[in-house]
Amino acid sequence: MKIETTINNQKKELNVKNYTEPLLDVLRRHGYVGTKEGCRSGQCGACVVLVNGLPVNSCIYPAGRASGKKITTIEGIGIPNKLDKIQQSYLESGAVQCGYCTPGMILCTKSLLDKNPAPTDEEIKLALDGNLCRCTGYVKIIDAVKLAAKKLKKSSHR
Amino acid sequence: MSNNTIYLPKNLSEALKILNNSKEKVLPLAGGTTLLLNPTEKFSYIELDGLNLDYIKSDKNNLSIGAMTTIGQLAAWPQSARYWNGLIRECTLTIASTPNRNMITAGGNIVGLRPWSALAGVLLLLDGKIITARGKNYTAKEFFSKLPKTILGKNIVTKIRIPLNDKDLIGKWKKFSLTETDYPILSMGILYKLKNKNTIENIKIVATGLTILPQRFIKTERMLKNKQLTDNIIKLLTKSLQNEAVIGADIRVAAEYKREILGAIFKDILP
Repeated sequence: MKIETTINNQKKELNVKNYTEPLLDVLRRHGYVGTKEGCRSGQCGACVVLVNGLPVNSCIYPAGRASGKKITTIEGIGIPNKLDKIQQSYLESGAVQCGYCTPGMILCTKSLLDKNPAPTDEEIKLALDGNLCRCTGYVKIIDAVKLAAKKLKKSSHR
Repeated sequence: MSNNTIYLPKNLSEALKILNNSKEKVLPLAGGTTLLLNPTEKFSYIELDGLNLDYIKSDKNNLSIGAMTTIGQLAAWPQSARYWNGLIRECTLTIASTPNRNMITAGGNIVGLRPWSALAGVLLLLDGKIITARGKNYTAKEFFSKLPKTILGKNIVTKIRIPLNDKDLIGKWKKFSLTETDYPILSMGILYKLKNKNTIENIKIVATGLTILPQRFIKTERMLKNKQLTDNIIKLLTKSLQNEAVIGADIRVAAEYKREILGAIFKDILP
């Protein structure tokens, strides 16, 4: 079956094997390989994408349900030569080691900061409670979110 | 990968027709998370997404929650942090993680009855009602007296209604799990009113995760009524609660361990 959706602000028609094919597989098949496969059971957050601005685990999200919705993948946040402020903050804070969990972390951070530009530590922990990182502790990641909030605030004041 | 047939009705009456007329086993599809985690299930499904069942409304008498409202929506609803001392927010934030809360629905959580179905316990505390597409309503007590799927038959939960008359009572919810993000081993909630600083005027106690169905502890509630919370009373009532609990098999921990944890959480959650 085919579904029509908007990915990273571009209208797309996606080939979907069946309604309940995981959105993760469909996205990766269509080239959005920044969306990572981790646990495949909705536990680790590596596959997080935003659907209508909210983070979901794409490994347990039925692709058919994405029809007519707006999807944001990590490719829609920034590209290697033009990083988004959130991505830049993760780099500067040393919040990335192997990087496998980072796309999911960044998308959850974006969803948080879009709604709440100045989150507390507790609010950051809650927003990232579905993202597991097996390399780092989470201190640098929380620092990165706070730095991103500062950078975004600064740029919105210009 | 799943090859289940998925029906896409345009409205609820079409969904009910499909349920009625189908010869195969057809189930309503709520958040979809369980189906994608168990893709070998050989059922067909009726998609409820897009049928306008995701809303939270309140008037002076009732809070109405559409069955397809996500747990995330419910946690973010401003009044969830205010009514019953924030019981709904506290409870919903113990269900899964942020990305999963954006998929798990209120209806799915109470019909599916998984270890993380905390909303079922909250409905028992708050005398919630479960409203269905065929107009049959159930009290939470009726709905959780046996497996909701068997109670529903060829029917669909459309709404949860909670009376707001007691919204100033104090509610608390606690989850116990082996790690912070793990599924709960058990969860417990209370709703109470104090007479003076240390005397219980009225209390309701529920736990989820002990068996598939949520449990209420009526005997212990009665014993607690009008009691001052001294160390001796708490010790006595903890024993009563542990004896009253029905604990089913859980591959992760022994029943005796669960009974001990239940007692510890009870002591912790009391005012």
